[in-house]
Amino acid sequence: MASEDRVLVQDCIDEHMDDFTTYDRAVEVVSSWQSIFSRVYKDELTHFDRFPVMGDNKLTPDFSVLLMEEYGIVAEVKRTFPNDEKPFRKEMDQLMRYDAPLPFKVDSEGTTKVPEKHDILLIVSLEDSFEISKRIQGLLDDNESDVSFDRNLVLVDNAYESADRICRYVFRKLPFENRPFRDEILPEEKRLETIMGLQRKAFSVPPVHFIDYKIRHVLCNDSPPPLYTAVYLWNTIFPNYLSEDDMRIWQRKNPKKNLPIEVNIEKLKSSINEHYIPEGNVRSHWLRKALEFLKAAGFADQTAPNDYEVKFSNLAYSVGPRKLREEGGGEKEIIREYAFLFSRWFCERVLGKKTMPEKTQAKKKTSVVLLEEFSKESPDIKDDSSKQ
Amino acid sequence: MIEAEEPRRLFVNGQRLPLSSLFIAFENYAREDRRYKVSLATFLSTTNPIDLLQDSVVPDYSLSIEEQEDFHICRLSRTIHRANIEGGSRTVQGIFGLYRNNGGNMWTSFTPSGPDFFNHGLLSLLREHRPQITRAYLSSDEIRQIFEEVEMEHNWTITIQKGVQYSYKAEGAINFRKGHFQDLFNEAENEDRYVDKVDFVVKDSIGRRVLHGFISRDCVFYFRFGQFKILKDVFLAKVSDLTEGKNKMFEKRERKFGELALKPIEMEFSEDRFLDISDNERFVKGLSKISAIGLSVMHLNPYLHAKVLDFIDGSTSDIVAINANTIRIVPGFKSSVHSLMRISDGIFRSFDEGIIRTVEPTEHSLGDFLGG
Repeated sequence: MASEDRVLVQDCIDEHMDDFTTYDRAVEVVSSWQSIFSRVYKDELTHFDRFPVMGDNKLTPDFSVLLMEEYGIVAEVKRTFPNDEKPFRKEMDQLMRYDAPLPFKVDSEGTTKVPEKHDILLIVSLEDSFEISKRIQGLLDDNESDVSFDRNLVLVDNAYESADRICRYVFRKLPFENRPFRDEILPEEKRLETIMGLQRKAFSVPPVHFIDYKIRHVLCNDSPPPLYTAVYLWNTIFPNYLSEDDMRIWQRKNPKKNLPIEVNIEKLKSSINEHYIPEGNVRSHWLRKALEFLKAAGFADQTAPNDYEVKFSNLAYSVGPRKLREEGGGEKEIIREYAFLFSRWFCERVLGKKTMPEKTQAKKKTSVVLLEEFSKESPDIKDDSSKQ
Repeated sequence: MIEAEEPRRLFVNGQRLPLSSLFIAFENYAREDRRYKVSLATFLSTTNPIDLLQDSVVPDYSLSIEEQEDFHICRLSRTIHRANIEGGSRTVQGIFGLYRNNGGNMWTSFTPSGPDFFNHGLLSLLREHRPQITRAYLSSDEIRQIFEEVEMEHNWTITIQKGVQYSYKAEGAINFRKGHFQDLFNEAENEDRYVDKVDFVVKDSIGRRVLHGFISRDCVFYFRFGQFKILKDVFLAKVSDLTEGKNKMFEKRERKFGELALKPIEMEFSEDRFLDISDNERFVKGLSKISAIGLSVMHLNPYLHAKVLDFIDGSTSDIVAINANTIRIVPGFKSSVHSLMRISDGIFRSFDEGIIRTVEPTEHSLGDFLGG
C-alpha cells in the first residue's frame, strides 16, 4: 500500500478507535451512577432505568432514576459540548425537553409514575465544565433568551483520576453557577445536595464498583458506534449460534473456515433484549449499523431487507502481537484485537474501493459517511427509534 | 529403551490385571535400564472418559479399551498426515493405561511407550476431546507446595537434577542445575520467573533414593526410578487435591440468560502489577498468546478491561484489572472449567502467578463511594 493510502487508512482506524473509546467511557459513566444508586441508595431506590424511553415524545435521556417514588433524576452525559452557538442551543433545547412532567419507571415490568419532583442532571467532562456552566448561566440570566427551566438543571463534572494506585471516575457538582438537587425527600445525610452541594464531596467510583454493571448492561442509551456493537455481537452473541460440530470444525479441520450465521435484525434485537441484556432496549437500527459495518468489512452479506448472513470465523489466528514498521524506519509493536482488526479491515476495504480522495477531504469525511456510501445499495428501512 | 513391546507382554488377554502388578514391572524395568521411563498425564473429566473415548469417533484415531481390575488398558493407533512426512503420512501406535484418582474427577493416563507415542498419540487424543477432557496445570507455587508438604510429611529430601524456568521479562528458557528444590524456587521468585518443569530425586531419611521423577506445570509426570507407588499415591494425590480444588472453583460459573447474577473469580498477585499502561499492554499481550482465543480490548488505560472468546468451546469472559494487584475474571453466558483453566494458566505463564479465589458479595455504604 502506498504511504499516502496507509495514512488514510490509519486516520480511518484512529477515528473508529476514538469513537469506540469515547462510547466505552460513556458506558462506564452510566454504569458508575447505576452503581451509586443501586448500592448506596438501595433502600431509597425505586428504579434505575438504564435505557429510558419517556413520555409521548419518547425522550431518551442517558439514564433516569426514581427515588422513594417521589423524586426523579433525568440525566444526560455529554462527552463534549459544541462551541458554536447554534449547536450549543440545540443541546439546551434537548435538555429543556426534559423540563416537563415525565413518567419514570417504577419497576422492570414498565409500570410508570410521574413523580412530584424531578431534576435534570447534566454530566460533563471536567475540562469543559466551567466554561459550559458559565455559558448556560449566561443563557439563563439573559432576559432576552428563551432558555429557562422550571425544574433544576444540575451540572456535575466527571474525570477519571488516579490516587493511591487506584483509578476511578470522580463526579463533582460544580460549586458555582449551579442549581441544587431538590432531593429533600431523601434522608439528610444521604441527600445528593448535602453530599455534593453543601459538603462539596465527590462521588468516586473505581472499576471494582462499576464493572459489574458495565458487563451486565453492555451499552448505554446512546446509539453506539457500529464498531462497538459489532465487537459485542462477535464476542458474545454470534458464538452462541454455533453448534458443537461447528466448534469441532475449527478444532480439527480448518480453523480459518467461515461458518455462516443467519441473522434477522428483529429476532436478534428481541434475543438481546430478553436474554443477553436484561431490561435492555437495544434498537434495531443499532444492530443494522453494526451489520452494515461488518458487511463493509467483508464479514457479512445482506440476504433480505432485515436479514444478513454473517461469515463468522475463528479469528484467533489474527489476534496477537505484531510488529509494524513506522515511517522513519522504526518499529512498534501493537496488539491486534477485535476492535482494531475490524476497524482495519473496514477501513482498508472501504477506502480501497474508492478513488483516493484528497487527503484533506478524507480527513473531513467521517467513517459514518463512508459506511453509508458503501452500503447505499441497501433499501431504506424504517427506524424504530427517534434517537441517533 | 524398553518401550512398546515390553508392556504388551504384561497385558495378558483374558486376565484382569491390578494396577499394582504394573508398578512392579515398571520398577523392574527402571532398575534394568536407566533410560526407561513411564510418562503420565493427568486431566479432569466431568464425565467418565472411558465412555467418552469409547463413544467418540475421531478421524485417523483407532482406539480399543479393555477393562482391568482397577484401571483400563487402551490400545491406540493414530495416522498423521503431513506433507513433509515421507509418503505423506505415518502411524503412531502404542498402549496406555487409564485410572481414576481417589474417586474424584481427576484421571491419570500413563504409558511406557516412548515420547513419540506419548506426545503425538496419547496427548493428542486427550486434546481431541476438549473441553470434556481438561488438562490441568500447576503453578510454580503449587509445585513448591507439593514438594514442601512431601518433605515434611515423610521426612524425605527432594533435590533437583534439572529445572527449567521461564522469565516474564525475556524470551528463552533458563536451566537450573542440581540443588535443593527451595533454591530453584527461590531463584525463580527473585528473578521474576516461573518454574516450568523439574526433574527431581527423592531420598528417604537414610539417604536411599526412593524416587526419580519429573513434574511439569502442565501435569505431565515421568517415573524414572524408585517406587512407582510414591509418585502415584504421594505426589499425584496432592496434584489431585489441587486440581479438584480448581475444578470446584471453576465449574458452573456461566451466567444464565435473562438474569443479572454474575459469578466472578479473582486472581490476586503478591505485588502490584498494574502500575501503568505498559503493564496493561504486557497483560493483554499475554492473553493474546493463549491459543484459540479471540480478544477485544474495551479499555486499556489507565485500567484494563478485555473480553475473551475461547474458540475451543465458545466460552466467553470479561477480564478486568480492579486494582493494582488484582484481576477479576467474569465468565459470560457460556463458561467451562476447561476455558477458565486455560485462561488462568495462560495468565500465570505470560504475566505472573497469583492466588485464585471466588468473589463473595459485599455490602456497600456511602463511604465506599466518597473521595477524590
